[in-house]
Order: sequence, then structure tokens, then C-alpha cells
Amino acid sequence: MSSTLEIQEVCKSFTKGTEVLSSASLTLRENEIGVLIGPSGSGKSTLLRSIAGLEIPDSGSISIAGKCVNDARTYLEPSDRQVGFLFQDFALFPHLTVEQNIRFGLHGVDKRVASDRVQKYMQLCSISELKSRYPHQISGGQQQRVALARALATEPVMLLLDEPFSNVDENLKAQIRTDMVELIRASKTTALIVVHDIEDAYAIADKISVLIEGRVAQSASPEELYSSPASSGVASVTGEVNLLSAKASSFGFTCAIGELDQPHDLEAGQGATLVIRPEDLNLEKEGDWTVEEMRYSGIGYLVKCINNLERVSVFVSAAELPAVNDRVGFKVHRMHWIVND
Amino acid sequence: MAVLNATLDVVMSESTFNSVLVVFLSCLFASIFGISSAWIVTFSNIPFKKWIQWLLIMPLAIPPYVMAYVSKGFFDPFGTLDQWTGIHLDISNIVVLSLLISLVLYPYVYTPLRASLAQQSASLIEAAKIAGYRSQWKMMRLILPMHRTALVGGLLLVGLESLNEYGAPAYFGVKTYTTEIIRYWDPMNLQYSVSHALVALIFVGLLLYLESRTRLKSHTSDKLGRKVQDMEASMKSSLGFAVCITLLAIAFAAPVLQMLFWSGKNLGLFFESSFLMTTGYTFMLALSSGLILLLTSVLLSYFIYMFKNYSLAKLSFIANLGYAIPGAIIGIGVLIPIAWLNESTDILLTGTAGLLIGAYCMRYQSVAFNTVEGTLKKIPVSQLEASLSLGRSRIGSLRSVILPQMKPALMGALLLVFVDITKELPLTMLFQRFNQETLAVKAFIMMDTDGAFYKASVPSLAIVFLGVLSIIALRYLDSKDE
Repeated sequence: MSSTLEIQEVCKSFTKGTEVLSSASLTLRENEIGVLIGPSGSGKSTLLRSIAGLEIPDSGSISIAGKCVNDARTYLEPSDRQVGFLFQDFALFPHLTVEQNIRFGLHGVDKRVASDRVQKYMQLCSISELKSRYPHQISGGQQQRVALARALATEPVMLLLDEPFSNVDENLKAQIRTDMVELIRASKTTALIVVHDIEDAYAIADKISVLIEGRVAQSASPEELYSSPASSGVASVTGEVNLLSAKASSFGFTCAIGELDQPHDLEAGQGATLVIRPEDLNLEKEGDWTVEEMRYSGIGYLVKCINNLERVSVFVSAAELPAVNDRVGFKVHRMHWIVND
Repeated sequence: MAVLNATLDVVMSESTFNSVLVVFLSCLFASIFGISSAWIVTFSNIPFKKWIQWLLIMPLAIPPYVMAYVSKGFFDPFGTLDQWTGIHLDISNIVVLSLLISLVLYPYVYTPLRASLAQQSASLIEAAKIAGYRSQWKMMRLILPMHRTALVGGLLLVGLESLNEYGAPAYFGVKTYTTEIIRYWDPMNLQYSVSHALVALIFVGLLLYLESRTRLKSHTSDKLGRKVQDMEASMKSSLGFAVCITLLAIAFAAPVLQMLFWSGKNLGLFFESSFLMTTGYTFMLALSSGLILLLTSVLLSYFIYMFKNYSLAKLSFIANLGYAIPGAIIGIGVLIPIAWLNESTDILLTGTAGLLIGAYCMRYQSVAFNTVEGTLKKIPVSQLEASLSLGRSRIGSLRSVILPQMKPALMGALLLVFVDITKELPLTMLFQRFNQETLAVKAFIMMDTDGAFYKASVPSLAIVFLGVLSIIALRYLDSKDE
């Protein structure tokens, strides 16, 4: 499959001299749903807006469907890029009805074709019965579907969505998330979605790109990202994790937990960071660690333990729950390591 | 050199003394009226509060020169008071002049101060009450300094407007910078006109500087929590009610009734062709200036909106200075390049409608621009971006997305400028075409003409009526906005 989006080494700094994007690169294949995630201020929205032409990068190049839309010599206006953009605030035009909003992007398209298109996407997004309402007369969830229908109706080469779940009710989020991904897949559109919640990313992405300090630190499938983060920065945005500094030895690693058996190809004495998920540890009844606090999370408990300022979180079931201040140890049954620079 | 000498003379002249005194006294009186009325409607529970709250803005519809005219007609020999009681008073002095100006300009203080007080954190008031602040006076001394920015901003407008005022001081025979600029407005004496304008400009600069110095750098208003406007005003105040009603009666009801009474005897004038011509000409001037201003404001603010362009924002600041500078000084500013053009091209440009429209546009650019920009700022940029990403051009987006959402504000801006121009006097006096008068000029000339005194109430009333209409319309637009 050909790549729909190709971003190469895009840099952007705003007037104050702070670099928001520093050499960010990213590719997306046709019909792929990509997710951009990263700490706030990492440049997610700026990158998304640069693709749409709403920001102009200082350097680097962006191609959409094989056509260069932005490089040192080219800048294509947003209106000529054939991308659909779903804004965080939906940006529905308040003076137009739902139907007129969806028709807005079909300016210049043959009237009958435009009408068919509007019907099709209103049906797809199940908003046909709202067609003569105004944006302020419909709910937030409905507004979002109208905005999506409006963006899809122009049948863009790709769809860009800026934090689509930040303005939706927490109770409805899972449903809206599923619906939206189904709609995007049904319309066979490549999409890049900015989210700030890793749960959302895991639920919808074919490919997750982690943006840290203006650079794409890793692009990978959700499974790969979770099991093998490329850096501790990436690991820290992929959910609850223990990052322990360690030294390689002939049999494995030495770290705060103790000596861990683990085959590796590092030289003895080389520094590394161990990435251990709370569910990949078991609690042992004896050890040098003290139970500091416990947090109930529905399926079980997240237990935080401390030893000499080092902290480790472990996931336990109600049956094996210790008490605060109990002395405990750990047994690690799965880990990933990152070689220190 | 001649101009410099003349300028130094002006600094030490009677017009300096009078101008400073008029500005000072007008500000003083306006702050008494403005602060007390804003305080009362915010903190006490008076009957018809909702109505009084916005009726208190109404005096702004009466231009100061109309106020001066009505007062003279009331207190002068053979005036209304004389007919009732046989007593007449000479009110043509600088203190009464300032009082009359402040009676119609105090809403400039009242409006921003009331808005600011309504946003005051309620817990602060409650904390003060718990700490034992019982008297209104003590409370005022605690609270008012926190609203200095609104207060001083309003006072600046009063100061600039009273400095700009031509009709009222001219009518009372008080020499100020503005009256002198217009008095010397002829080729022989132009240097005196220019030197008065120069000194007045320095005075304006001083006022602007004072305002910027007293403005609070930051104000700690907590966004959360209850505001004064959510508080139940507990204190019943019949004294407060009496103060507001008296103020409204003196500053609005009485002059309007008096003019209605006078014009009732001159109803025929409304249908005279000369009056209709004047009205038509005024409408033409005000409407064409208004439309030009609307266009320039929309384009300028749209550029700033689109590109968040700082240097353009600076440009708008320069364009906006127009309102701070009295009309008569703008007149000089327009005249000098034109006079130079006249010399070199020998085309007589002075005294054309086009020139007058140009001068109006310079002076009222900020009124239109601020209204337009204020509304445009509230439209999220994502609206424009959505339109662009849906394939529309920037001009297409302006037409189909931005302008339709700004309709009320555009109407409001047009209305504001329209009314301001209808009652404008000094600039119009400078650039009016021979034998073609606006309503304001006609009213002003008739006031001063024997035998036409009472007839002057007809054009005056027309101006006031337009002003009232604009306040009601803006109030309506405002409530729709909410």
C-alpha cells in the first residue's frame, strides 16, 4: 500500500524562539488510522495543523497522497490540500443548519452530486433527522457527528482530528470512540488523530506515534509500543510503568529490586533502564520493600512500595493484598530494557 | 517662528485656564454622578432597578450643546423658570457649563464602573462585612480603588469629550482651545488656530499619559466564585432611589420634556423642505462615513484576526488615536495637507462633502473598529480554519462564515458612528459646505439666532431621538448577544 502521509523533518518555532517541532518525521499508509500522543506542549496540535496548512513549518516537507504540499519552495493553501479537519471545538458554523454545514465544503460541486453526498454522510453519521436544526439546538455528541460528516462529505484524501474526545462526556466516551472509528473505517479514509489519553490511543490506533519535545520518538503498533517502548520518555506516556535504572551483568541485570535473570546481548557493566509493567511483577512475602500506599482500580489494586527513595508499583488481586507498612519483595516475570546513551 | 510665538502665547492664555478648568470640573462632577449611581444600582435594592440601571445611560443621547441650550432657555430672562416664578438666573459661567457637560457625559463613568463592580468577587465584600466595615463610605474607600482602571478609563473619555466640546462653551461664551481653533479658522488667522491645536494636543497627550499611569497593571479578579452580580442586594435604599431618579430627571427627563414642549409649538418645521433637506444631507453624510468606516474596520480587523499580525495591530492603535484627538485638531490635521495641495494643484478642496466625510472617518475610526474587532475576537479562529480546510478562500470565508456571524455588531457599529456623526459639531463647523448644514449645525445656529431660539428644539430633538434609538438598539443587540 502506498503512503498517504509523509512528513519529513518538520521544524517549527514560534516568535518567542521556543522550538515546538524539531525535526518531526512521520508516515501513514492508505486507510491507516494513526494516533499522535505526547505530553502537553510536545507539539501534537502544531504538527496536525501544519499538515492541514493552518501553520507553516519553518523547514521540512509534507506530502499528502504523493503530492508535496509543503517544503522549502511550496506552500499549498489549506483549501487546496484535500484534507478534512475536525476541530477540538467542532467549529460548526452557528448561522447555518446541520445540512448547510455539511454542504458547506461542497461549494462548486454539481448540485445533484452535492445533495447525494450530503444525504449519504448524514445517514452514515445518523444525523439525518437533525438536518434542519442549528448547532446550538443539538447535543455535544451530535455536534461532533455533524462536524465529522462535514469533514467527510468533501471526501478528503485524509482526515485530521484534533483531540476529538476532549469535549465529550466521560460516560459516553467509549461509545463515541467506537462509533467514530467505525465511521472513519466505513468511509475508507486515512486519519491522524491527536489524543491525550493513552487508553483512547490503544482503543483506536493502527499506529501510535509518540511526540516528545517536538520529535517523533517512536511510531509503532499499540502492542509494540506497550511492550517495547523505545525510550523512558515514550514508556512514561504509555500507561502505568516502573522505570528502574540497572546495570547489565553476565546473567541479567542488577537493579533496586535485586539481581534479575534475563538473557541479553549487552556488555557486562553497561547501563540500562528496565521497563517493568505493574502486572509483570508478583509480590513476595519477604523483602526490603515497604508498602507505602494502595489504590483500588476496579479489577484489582495498584500497590506502591518504597525502598531507599526508589518506588515500584505492582498490580495485585484482592486475595494477595498486603497491608500498609508490610515488608515485601518482588518477582519479575517479564521486562523490557532500554540501553542508556 | 510665528507659530512658535503664538503657541507660547496660547499656553499662558485664558483658553488654557478655561480648558483645564472645564476638563477638571467636568471630570469631578462626572465622577460624583457616575460613582454614586453605579454604586447605588450595584449594591442597593431600589425599586425598578432593572429599568433604572439602563435608563441611567440615556443622558448620553443629549449632546452637551443641546443641554446648554435647554438650560439657558429655562433659566434666562423670559425663560420657563421666569414665567413660572418670576425668577431668572444667569448661568453662563464656567462652573455651570462644566456641570451641564458632566450631566450628559457621566454615563462614560457609570457604564464601565458598573460593569466592573458587577464582576467584583462577592467574598471580598462579605469578608469586609465580617471585618466590621459597616458604613457605605468605608466600603467605598475599600472597593473603589480596585476598580480604578474602569473609573479612570471612563474619566478619560469625559475629559477628552469635554475638551472636544465646541457648542456648549461657544454658546456660553467661554473660550476654550476648541472654540478658539474654530474662531480663527480663516486664511488670515490660521496660525492662531494651529497654535491652539498644538497646545491642545499636548494637553491630550498629558491626559492619555495620566490615564496610562493610573491604570492598574494587573487586577486580581478571581474567575471562580460568586460575583457581586450574583449577590442579593440586601440594603433597601430610598435615598439611593431618590438620587437616581433626581439624576435622571435633571439629566434626561427635564431637558427632553422642555424640548418637546418648545417643538410642540413649532411642529410645522418638521415638514419644511429646508428641514427635510438638512435631515437628508445629515443622513447622507453619516451613512456614507459609516459605511466607509465599516468597510475599513472589517478589513483591518479581519487582517489582524487572520494573521494575528502585531504590526497591523499597532497600525490599528494609530488609527484609533483619532477618537482621543479632539475634532478641531483633526480638522487642522486634515486642513494642512489639503491647503498644501490647494496651493500646488489649485483645486479648491475645502468645504466639500468628501472632505467632511474623510475627517469624520479619521475621528470615528476607533468607534467602528473597536465594536467590529470586539465581536470578531469572540469568533473562534477555528471557524475560519474550518472554512479554509473545507475549500473556501480567505475572502470567501469572510463573506460566508465571518460576516454573517457579525451582522448585529456591524449594525451596532454603523449605528454608533451614525449617531456620533449626527451630533458632531466642531469638525462639521470647520468643513461644512456653504449653505449646506447638518442637523447639529442647524440646531446650533438656530439656538443663537433671535426669533429662532425655540425652533432650535426641533433639530435638537431629532438628534436626541436618534441617540436614544441607538442606545435602545445597542441594548437590544447586547441582550441578544448574551
